[in-house]
Amino acid sequence: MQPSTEPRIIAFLCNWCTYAGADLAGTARMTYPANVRTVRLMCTGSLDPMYVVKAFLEGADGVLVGGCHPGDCHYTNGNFKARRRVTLLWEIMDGLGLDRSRLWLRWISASEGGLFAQTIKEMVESLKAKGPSPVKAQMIL
Amino acid sequence: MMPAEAFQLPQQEKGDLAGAVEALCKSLLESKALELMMVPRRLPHGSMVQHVLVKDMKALEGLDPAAPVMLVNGGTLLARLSRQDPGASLGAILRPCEIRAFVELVKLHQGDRERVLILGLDCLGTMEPTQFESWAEKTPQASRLFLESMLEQGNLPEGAPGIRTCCQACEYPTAQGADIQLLLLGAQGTGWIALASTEKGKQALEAAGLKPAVVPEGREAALQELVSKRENFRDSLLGQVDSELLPLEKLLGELSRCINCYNCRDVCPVCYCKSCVMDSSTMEHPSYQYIRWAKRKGAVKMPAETLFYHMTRMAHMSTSCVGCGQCSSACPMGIRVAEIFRAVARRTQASFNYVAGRSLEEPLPLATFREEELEPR
Repeated sequence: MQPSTEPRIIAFLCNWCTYAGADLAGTARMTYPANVRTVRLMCTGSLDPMYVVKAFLEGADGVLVGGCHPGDCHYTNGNFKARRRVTLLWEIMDGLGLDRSRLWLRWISASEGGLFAQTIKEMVESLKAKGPSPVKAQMIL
Repeated sequence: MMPAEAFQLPQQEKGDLAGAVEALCKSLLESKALELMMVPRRLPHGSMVQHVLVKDMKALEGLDPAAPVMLVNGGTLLARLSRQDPGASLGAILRPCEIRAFVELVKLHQGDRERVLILGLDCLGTMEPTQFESWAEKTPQASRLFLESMLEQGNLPEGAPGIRTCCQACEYPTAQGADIQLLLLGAQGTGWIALASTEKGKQALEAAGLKPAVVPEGREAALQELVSKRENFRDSLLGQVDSELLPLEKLLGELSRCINCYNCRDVCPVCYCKSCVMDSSTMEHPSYQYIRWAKRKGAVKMPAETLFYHMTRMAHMSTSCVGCGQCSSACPMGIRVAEIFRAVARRTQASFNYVAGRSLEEPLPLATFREEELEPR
């Protein structure tokens, strides 16, 4: 079997906004590439950066963190904390020579099913242009 | 912040720092300004120097504040002593990186700054503990010899082991954040000077009966010289680490010696979790998980998840890393852990305009946020 050349995305989505947005994209029968595996969190503020690290080390080509728009967090400010953690991860990725643009942070509300579908389309295109994550080649880590 | 006030330490034979600090500690204990003190002291057997919590004044004998060795980062120890109300007035003699680690732990609610009086020393660097031990064993008055040579010639006495890389790259040789700073740099010839930088510190020194003095004239120049020497070393070291150690393949090469013992985590003063995720059931994989990984990837290094462990630590503690170097000293495989983490910490701390241990007022970068910042990309 040939290894798939399709990029794989792990998406950490907050329960109240982006996950609901993804749900809306589905119930509205919008189409978007099937390259994404979602992990539902109660809040992006509860995302330990180690899970993003793990996703990349297990061979994810991209990671999407999706939360509520600033000011809309169900828990007041979890998304602001997530934004700092993503910044932290970008710095670590830069240091290790990993491409920080494989890690996306996006604000997508429960009503923005179209934006979710569009975001996945854009992310898949961007990752296809980059090719497979170089971490994948380091298979035994 | 009150303006710093200088006091003269009890006069001893020239150059005898241990004697002067011992006299100061005695006065602090006698005057009841403090009931107990944690001090670096030669242990009764052997030549190693460790932190000792002293109640009995007789136990101050063997006090060795100039010993160039830091077996355990005292920030961790002071946090342990101040986490709950200790029920006694406590003082501690610490190095700058121990104070900075303590500051981080206070912000993590694991220690209490109000419960302790900190006496900080200028730091001229430390040696690898085992190297210090064997040098001190065969060298009478090793610490004093070290101090004199470093202050007067600016380098190590002949035959002494080298200063740890991390110390050579440390740009914080003064005890910022202490209640009382014991000034060594530029203090040759004037006798040792204690600088009170808080009201609490000033009261303690007055209670101990110390007389006012002035900051030695040569201090600023000596300090500038040392700091710029260390900054140069730091910049060239970290530049080298950035290109020769951090890029993923180079990093994997360095970590190829890692045995997943987690010593670097255990000795890290700012690896703050009470129970580490690496020891939790999250990481206790069922046997078939390894098989599954090997089937998917083709091969899995055993023990697995070495890079994951180190990257997780980078994400968890690099914003609080004070660069004390304990991780490198504790690594049984000679991995340059501290160099790697300082280089990563420089990036992560800079991105939040944060310097670990600089101030109790600055919130931890990952425990705070601003609404207008860091737009998503």
